[in-house]
Amino acid sequence: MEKGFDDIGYHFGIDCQGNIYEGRDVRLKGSSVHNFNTGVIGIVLLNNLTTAEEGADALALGRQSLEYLGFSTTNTIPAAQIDGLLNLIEALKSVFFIKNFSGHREYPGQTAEGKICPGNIGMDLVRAIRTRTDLLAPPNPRA
Amino acid sequence: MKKSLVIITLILLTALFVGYYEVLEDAETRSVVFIKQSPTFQVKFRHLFANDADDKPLRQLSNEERQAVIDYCKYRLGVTTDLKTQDELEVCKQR
Repeated sequence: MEKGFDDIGYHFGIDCQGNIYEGRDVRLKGSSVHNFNTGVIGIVLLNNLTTAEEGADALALGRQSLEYLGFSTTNTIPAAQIDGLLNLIEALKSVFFIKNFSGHREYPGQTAEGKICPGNIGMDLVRAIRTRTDLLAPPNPRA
Repeated sequence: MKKSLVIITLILLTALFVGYYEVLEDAETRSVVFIKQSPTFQVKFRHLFANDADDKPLRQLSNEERQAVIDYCKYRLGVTTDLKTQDELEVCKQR
């Protein structure tokens, strides 16, 4: 709030214990996918699901160096977080007509972090969830 | 005395030529520091489109938001504009 924002841009957040938090009212358009927010329910996993090489910046270089030295900097997704996400998707599907399930970076024209999000580990999860829930990849969205 | 003068001059030059704006991406804010294209004592700028919301078209911008875009465009990008058309707004969306 002190940053001048009224709320957060996501409709839901899920932490590593599987707790689901409500963000922006789902009746309102989100601010989670630049220029593709219409008809989208934004869910953020409160976790870093990138691999070390993603980002091509100083942080990525540092992570790659640590990985080279044998220290893992890549998170695994807690089972409780995946369960929370699956439960939320099922709950939303019971109320809304949902066809697609997408990672942020699958939408064109995303900038900076949006080009990486949700990370390689996150995208593996997105694909697994599509298979499990019979949801589809985004149909070549346009702004 | 001489040292103080140098420090004051440096502070003034920094205030005149260095600015910043905030970017909101993936639920995190970060500041982007930049060298102004022309001097002003305005240090904090707003980039209305540096977030994951859908871009507002020109007709939906308030007077305050238009002025923020004009300032950003002038001092960050070096583009002076009256922001009369959507094309002019598109130019000002650059980072």
